[in-house]
Amino acid sequence: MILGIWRYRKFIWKNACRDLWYRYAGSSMGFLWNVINPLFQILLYTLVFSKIMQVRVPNLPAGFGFAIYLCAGLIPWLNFGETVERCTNSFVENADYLRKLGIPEQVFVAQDAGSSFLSLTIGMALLVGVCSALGHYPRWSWVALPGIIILLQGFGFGLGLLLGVFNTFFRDIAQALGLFLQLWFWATPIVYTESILPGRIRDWLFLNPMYPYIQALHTVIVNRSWPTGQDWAVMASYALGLPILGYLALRTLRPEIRDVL
Amino acid sequence: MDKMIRVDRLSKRFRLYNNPWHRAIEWATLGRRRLHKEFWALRDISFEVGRGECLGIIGPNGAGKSTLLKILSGALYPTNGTFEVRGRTLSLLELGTGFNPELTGRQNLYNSAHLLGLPPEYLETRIGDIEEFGGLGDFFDRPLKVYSSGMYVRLAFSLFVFLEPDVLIIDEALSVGDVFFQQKSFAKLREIISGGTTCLFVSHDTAAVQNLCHKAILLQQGKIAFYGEAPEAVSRYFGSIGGEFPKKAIGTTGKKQIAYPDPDNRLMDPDEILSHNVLEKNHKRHGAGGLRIVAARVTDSKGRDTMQVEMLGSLTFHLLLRANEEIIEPSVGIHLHDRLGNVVFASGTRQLEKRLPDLSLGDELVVSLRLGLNVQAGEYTFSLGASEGSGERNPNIGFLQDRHDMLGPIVVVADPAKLLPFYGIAQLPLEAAWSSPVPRKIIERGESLL
Repeated sequence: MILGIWRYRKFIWKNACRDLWYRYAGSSMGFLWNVINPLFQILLYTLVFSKIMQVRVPNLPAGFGFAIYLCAGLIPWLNFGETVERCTNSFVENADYLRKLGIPEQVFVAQDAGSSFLSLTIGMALLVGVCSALGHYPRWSWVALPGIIILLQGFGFGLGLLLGVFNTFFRDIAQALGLFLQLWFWATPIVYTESILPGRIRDWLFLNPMYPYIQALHTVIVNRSWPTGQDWAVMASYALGLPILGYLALRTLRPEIRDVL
Repeated sequence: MDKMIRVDRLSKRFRLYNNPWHRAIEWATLGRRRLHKEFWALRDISFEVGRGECLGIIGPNGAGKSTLLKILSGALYPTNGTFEVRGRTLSLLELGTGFNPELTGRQNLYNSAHLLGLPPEYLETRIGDIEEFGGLGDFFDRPLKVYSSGMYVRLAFSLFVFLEPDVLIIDEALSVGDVFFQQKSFAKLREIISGGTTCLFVSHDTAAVQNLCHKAILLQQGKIAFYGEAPEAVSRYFGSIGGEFPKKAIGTTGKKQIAYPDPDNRLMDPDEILSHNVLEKNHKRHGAGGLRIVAARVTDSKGRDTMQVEMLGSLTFHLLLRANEEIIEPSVGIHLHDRLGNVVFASGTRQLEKRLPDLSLGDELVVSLRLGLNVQAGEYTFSLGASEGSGERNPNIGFLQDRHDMLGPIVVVADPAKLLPFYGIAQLPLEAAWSSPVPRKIIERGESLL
């Protein structure tokens, strides 16, 4: 599977870039919307939660503190959701190509994941910028950020690949995914802090695959310290495990996928 | 000689499920409960193609041609068997796959090159030629969405002919564009084939197949029905699409075959026509209905039920008519249409100036029309009509009582080994006369022989 992606790397890269560009093709500001959208979200949440709702977060000053906490989790989460949704639909969307050309299937999933990753990078860069502007300057620990989001994207890619394989046969999966992601969102401490959860529920939080990533992001951005070795280990295992699962599913069902599209 | 394509006992089975959950149940029970129907699109296909050869693949719809090509292109995976395609392969399975309407012609070519796994530098050196071949002018740098459909196919095809693959796989994509572009395309294809490109060509355009290919495979219901020289494959293809009739007619399967003293001109009994009626119950018919063609039977000059005949042969159409009211001056006729829809010939008893007897309510009449098929080889449809004299001043206008359209197909075959009696749509009387040779040199010197 890696070989397939490697051989088509230029194709994937070009299409991922172009996909980002053309999301707003035809609009006058074009590529700029890729920047404005996440920026706007960050500013809006900042306004609402900090100024209007005045929520407080430990370790952070009142006022913008909560906004930073929120965005640190929300921006990556939104991107993760998008990655998984697009990758799940990837085979169905590119059925035209898969029906006629001998391009390896995972190339299209990689393309969608790549495009999402680029937009995630932009979002994170903006986040860092906004934090600095608010006086919450980056520390050395923030060097860990690229690592975290790469692992997060790997997890998203693997999950998207796995679901995508099954989605070609059971198209309901893509639909149900939307609902599932919503549930998952609320099961992860993004818009609220861990501390408000009762102890018993908090004990089970570790089962949530997104929890290690969000926690690591909070650790780095909010607390400005490094994630622990254990955190890295868990993140890496999801980031490797899911693509492997996805690959196994693909390999087993590959002939039937083309038949069904 | 290098074998560029090698196919060995290739088979493809599709599993057909009524709904996706049947598949889930099958997986869950590890295959113990079978909830699918099997459809074998290809069975034991084996062939080889050498460098610089062109192999045609022809056959009726649904025979498995496209499936075979998709497997060789890597778009589908085979169920059994192996295949090997050496060298760089370009597959033209539907022109314009991957063309983005927002991008210009030029940009789309680069994008397509990517899709096909080619490095952009490769395209650089050739893009000038492609631009020239396509003949699109300024449009080459304008977005695809402003192209006409003709321009669209020109662009796509121009791209493919210049990419110099080792193996070129084409599925039905050649008969596009106007006649000038088609000629250019064929010439270019011939050029690259003689330049050593191996070609696999699927088409319904049998003329193209005979023209370009050395050998051809006739595929029927997933199996190779014939594998040999292209003209013979085409001829056999025509011989087979007459459908059920030729097979039933030859020999004595089913009905008894009586030896007719003069098969051509004998009028049949109504029962005989009814027993081999080619008119189907739910077939389209129109007309007033006062005079109905109840049944029709088609036989050749030997009295066999068939709609297949050699060039210049004849078929006899036996019609059973029934009058539902009083009919004055009935007439019966036949129209012959070629595959393009042209009326090749239409005529009837009225045009022959033969007056059929008047009919009273309930009368039955048998009419026999013998038509000489002095037309080129190919498929034809025919229509049968019954009309009544209309009493109008214009003798050409009759009152339509019953008409059955789109009957057939009539298949006219030509023996590939023999000299064709003529070329063109139909045969016209042509005679030739000539003098004895007159020696030229005496005249040249200015001296008169006389």
